[in-house]
Amino acid sequence: MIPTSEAWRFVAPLDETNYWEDTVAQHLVTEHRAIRRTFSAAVSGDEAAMEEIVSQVRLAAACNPSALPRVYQLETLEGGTSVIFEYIEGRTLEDLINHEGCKKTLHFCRWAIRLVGELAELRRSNVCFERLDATQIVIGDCEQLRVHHRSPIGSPSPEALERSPLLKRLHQLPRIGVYTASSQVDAAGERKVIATLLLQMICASTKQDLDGWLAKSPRPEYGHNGIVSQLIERVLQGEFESLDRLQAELRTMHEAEAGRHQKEMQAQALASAPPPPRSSPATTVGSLASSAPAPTPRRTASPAPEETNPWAAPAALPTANNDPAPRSWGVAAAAEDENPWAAPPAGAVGPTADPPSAGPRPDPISASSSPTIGRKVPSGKKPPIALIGAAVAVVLVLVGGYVLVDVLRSASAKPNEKPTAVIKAPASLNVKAEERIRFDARGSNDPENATLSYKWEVTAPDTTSVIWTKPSDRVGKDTRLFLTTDGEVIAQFMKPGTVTIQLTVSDGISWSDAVPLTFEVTPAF
Amino acid sequence: MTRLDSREAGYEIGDVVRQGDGYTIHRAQELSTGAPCFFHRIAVPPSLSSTGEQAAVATMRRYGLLRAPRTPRLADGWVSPENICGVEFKEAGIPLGLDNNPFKDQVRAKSDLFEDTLHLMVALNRCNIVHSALTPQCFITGRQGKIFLDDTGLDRALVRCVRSDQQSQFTLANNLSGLDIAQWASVVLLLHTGEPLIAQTLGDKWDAYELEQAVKKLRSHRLGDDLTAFFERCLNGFIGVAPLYDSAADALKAWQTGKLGSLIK
Repeated sequence: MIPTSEAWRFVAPLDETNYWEDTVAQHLVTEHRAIRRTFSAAVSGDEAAMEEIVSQVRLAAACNPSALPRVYQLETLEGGTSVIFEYIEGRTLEDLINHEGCKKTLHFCRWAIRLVGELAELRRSNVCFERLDATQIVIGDCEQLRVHHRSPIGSPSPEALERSPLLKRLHQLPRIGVYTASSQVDAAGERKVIATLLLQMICASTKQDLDGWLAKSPRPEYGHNGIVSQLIERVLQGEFESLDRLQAELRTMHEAEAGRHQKEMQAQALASAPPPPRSSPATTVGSLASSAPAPTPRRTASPAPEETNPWAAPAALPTANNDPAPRSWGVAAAAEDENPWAAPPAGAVGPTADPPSAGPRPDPISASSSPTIGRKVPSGKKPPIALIGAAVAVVLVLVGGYVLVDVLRSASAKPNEKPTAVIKAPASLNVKAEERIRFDARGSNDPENATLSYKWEVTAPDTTSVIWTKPSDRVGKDTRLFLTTDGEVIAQFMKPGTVTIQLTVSDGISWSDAVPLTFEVTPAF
Repeated sequence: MTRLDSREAGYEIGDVVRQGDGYTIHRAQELSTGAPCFFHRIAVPPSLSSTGEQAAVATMRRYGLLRAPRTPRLADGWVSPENICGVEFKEAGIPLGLDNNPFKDQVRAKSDLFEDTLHLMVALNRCNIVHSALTPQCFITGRQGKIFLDDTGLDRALVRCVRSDQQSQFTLANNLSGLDIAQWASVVLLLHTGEPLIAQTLGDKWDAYELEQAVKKLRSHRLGDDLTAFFERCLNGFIGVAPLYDSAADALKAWQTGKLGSLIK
């Protein structure tokens, strides 16, 4: 065996149990820290136990998943058997949970999700846990989870020992760490370990109603609709046979939540877009002439709730079906009551800022009492009517002249004619899914012989996926709308079904009429 | 007990994995545990001074600090009269590239891949290491499809040390982190688009339409994500809307300190 004392400097004792003794070691050249664990079983001269330790060390060193400490070297001297482990730096999850100042609940949820993934990966690497708690999870650099190896090992349940002879045998031996390289360790016990850990993390960090807290999470994939709590409940009920299924379910839930949230955001974006100009009695001369201050515009009022509650859930549409909390709409609604769109900014000229109104006319009394056009004037000092009339006349003459010149110019120039799009395709297209089909649009023409650009678009169905490729390129683009200046394009339809594409060409000024093409895409095999 | 005459005798050295200017990487096995590893051998010029040797050891120590998951562990290292040797424990896998592009496979979410590669790059920078030559081939896909860092640039850094008698100058102290950020952004762009980024007609390749499509796709993957905004800023830097290094470095710094939201317009 190899003596490691030449390469390592042993710094200080770290931990001690009945089975082993840990010492902090440091590599002489690279200076990274490690732990030397010396087994007392070897000291006692139990040959069988020592062989088991060595075989487990070698197994652990060979499988070597990234979330576990690495095994560097094994040293068997006359005094005993030692193994050099990787030393993991960072704060344990328990520290973070118990730390009063650390309430980054979002991080806990993120770590919980990652932990499920990491443990699933470990299981695929033939590593299982008999017991796992928050003292063994270390959050290291880049907030990555690692599994600590210094914690004492608990005993598996008697039932688990009865079911698994291998586990029973392993349990009788001194072990090198918390993990056992055997796929036959009780899977149900491991599920319970994960569920307990998740609950421990999330509940301890929140110390309040779980669903209520999760509803405030801004990240839909980690908090919306209590996704984590639902998952934990299902895990505790033993719904999942394996961690793979658990992870697959988690992914499905994520996608569903993300899709739902995306639709909500789109609907919200549509709803929050500025409404078209509308008629309102308040957008009239009379209201501008009044001395009351202009009401607060809606755009400045709506961000207010976000500033006061940055963790608030994304605002839902205030519809009857989707109620829950129109909180962030509260201010906007109040502002709307005050008719926020009523007045253009002070100083604007009324007739130009005000669209033609089809609504009720303003109060004739107030309108007649201030015959100015949109501009505030000091009460009691009216401008001369002759001056206003002259100004209006000048504006009319200028506008009329401009329109006249424009009409004359357009009458003398030849109008641009729109191009014509043409797709050359056989009468019966026989297209297979994932097959590369070439479409030719070089027959498209423009009366002015301008250079054409081509817009290919899949119009139906919504679910299809198509990859467009230029003939000169090797790699295509997965997009429904494809713009190119080449007359030819290669399309690859990924799903079977009836597909409609359409071609539109542009001469830089105007677009042609769209030419649709409908054909059947048959399955690849 | 068997005494070893040479440190190399602790490893069974196999075939050559990669070879470069002044260095060779072998596949190897640590004999006591049977752990698979990679053996780096850097040729030492005959005139190597003690200063150069110290510089190499200091650089190696910097790489020894790299502790992040899915990065290689520098398990052992030594200086002999003929060679400087390092032993890394790392995952074996397939290098990323247009042939092995997990962004196109759609097995994992693109945002996760994006985040994984960023974590690996940041892990290097946190050890005061600037890789300076990040390419898709520096990352590999492991057994479970996760992305690992394969090439930390250890060999090139040591070669620079023994030839110049100086420590590696590619550090954060020399303000070179922007180099890695830009290269990482271009790696992600390359994998994301699946097309080689040809600089001859940069404007044609990444016009406003392309940028809009890329950002739209990213946003559809993870709405309101800080990383998406960071990537957006990198994209802006890449196509020349903003100065590349400055905007990307600012974005990274803001992301590391959790203040990226303030940068989003």
